[in-house]
Amino acid sequence: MKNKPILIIAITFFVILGIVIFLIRPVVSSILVSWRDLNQTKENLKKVEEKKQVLEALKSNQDLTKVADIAEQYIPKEEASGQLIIELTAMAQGNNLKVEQTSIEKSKDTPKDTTTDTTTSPTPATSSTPAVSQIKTVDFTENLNGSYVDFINFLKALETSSRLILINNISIQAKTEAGKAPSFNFQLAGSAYYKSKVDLEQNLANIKITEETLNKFLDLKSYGQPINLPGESGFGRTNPFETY
Amino acid sequence: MQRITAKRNASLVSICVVLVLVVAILGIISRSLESTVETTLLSSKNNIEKDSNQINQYQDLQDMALFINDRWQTTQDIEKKHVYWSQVLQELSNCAPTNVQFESLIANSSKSPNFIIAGNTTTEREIIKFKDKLEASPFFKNVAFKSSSLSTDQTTTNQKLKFTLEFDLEQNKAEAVQ
Repeated sequence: MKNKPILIIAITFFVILGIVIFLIRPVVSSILVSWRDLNQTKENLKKVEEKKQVLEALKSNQDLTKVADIAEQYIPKEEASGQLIIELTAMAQGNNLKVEQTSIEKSKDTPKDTTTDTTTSPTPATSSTPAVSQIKTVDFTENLNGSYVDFINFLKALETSSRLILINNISIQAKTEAGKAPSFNFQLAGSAYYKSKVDLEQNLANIKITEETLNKFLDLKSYGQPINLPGESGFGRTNPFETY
Repeated sequence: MQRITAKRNASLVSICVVLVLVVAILGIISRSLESTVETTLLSSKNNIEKDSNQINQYQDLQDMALFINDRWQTTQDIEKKHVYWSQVLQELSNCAPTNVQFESLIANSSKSPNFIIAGNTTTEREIIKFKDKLEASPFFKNVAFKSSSLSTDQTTTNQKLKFTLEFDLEQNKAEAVQ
């Protein structure tokens, strides 16, 4: 009779233990796993929704295709040296300069220090991976004749042209003749750039396009009519050694 | 005594039954919570799948955006060494005294001296004025006077002082201006 309360407590303990072990414990552990999953899923959902919003904003941007075309012209996937010559000549002629000679050198890779630098990028919206495909250059030289003011205007046009061109060397020689305004001979050596691949990793930061990026490309000016073979006319000669 | 013991046992049994009931209710509540969490999880996963399907439809758009940003970043990297020659030459013109005429200019962004200028003027004083003005410009540095010589202009028979100056470009300044 004295043992009865102990027996009751023991039975209660075992019943509760049974409920905890067989009912509550698996449920609680399942809840914990699901909760962790839920938090992770919510985070993923937030990212996916943010990405969707960014993409929908891009979709509604009327300038995007145009900007992509300009960006491809600015740093083409291939060297496009023919278009480079057309553009250089058009820029010179547009600024009243006479092109005496243009030469293109074999393309080469740029030194490593000019490839993608991930740490010092001034663009906050883009994060990058190390450069996979190197930026390559098409080096050129050009001899021009004309006035100094026109040459300065030509340099200004180069700085905002739709092809990324950097001038490395400039030589200016003045030719003065009695009774005549001085004329100038200009020699330029520079590089245009091209890059075959995209190095950026596909993530949210890298698909956001800032206003600054859009404006940079939209502000570039295109010079010269590109060659479009199916549309070009005037081919075929009986004797190509005859004067034209 | 027996009644007291029986009463105490009855109370103990009641307490134990209540305890068991409370634990059982907790178990039921946790089951219900589990089901709620799982439903929410499933719904979130469905939303992700739905949004992901929509995002996949925008693959071309993503590639285009990535391409634009790649070109933008490449441009930024290349333009770090970009010399804006039109502005550099403009600054050079601004530094020239009125009595100085340039005859030739050689500029090389990668080789020191970056500039070699040959010209003519009237007196040595004008050359030094020009040198000092270049030195004071934020665009140029290391200005060195190389030579000067008196020569006679064959057409006008006027005497001119020919000179040569060499100097470097202040790279940071010349690359920063746009």
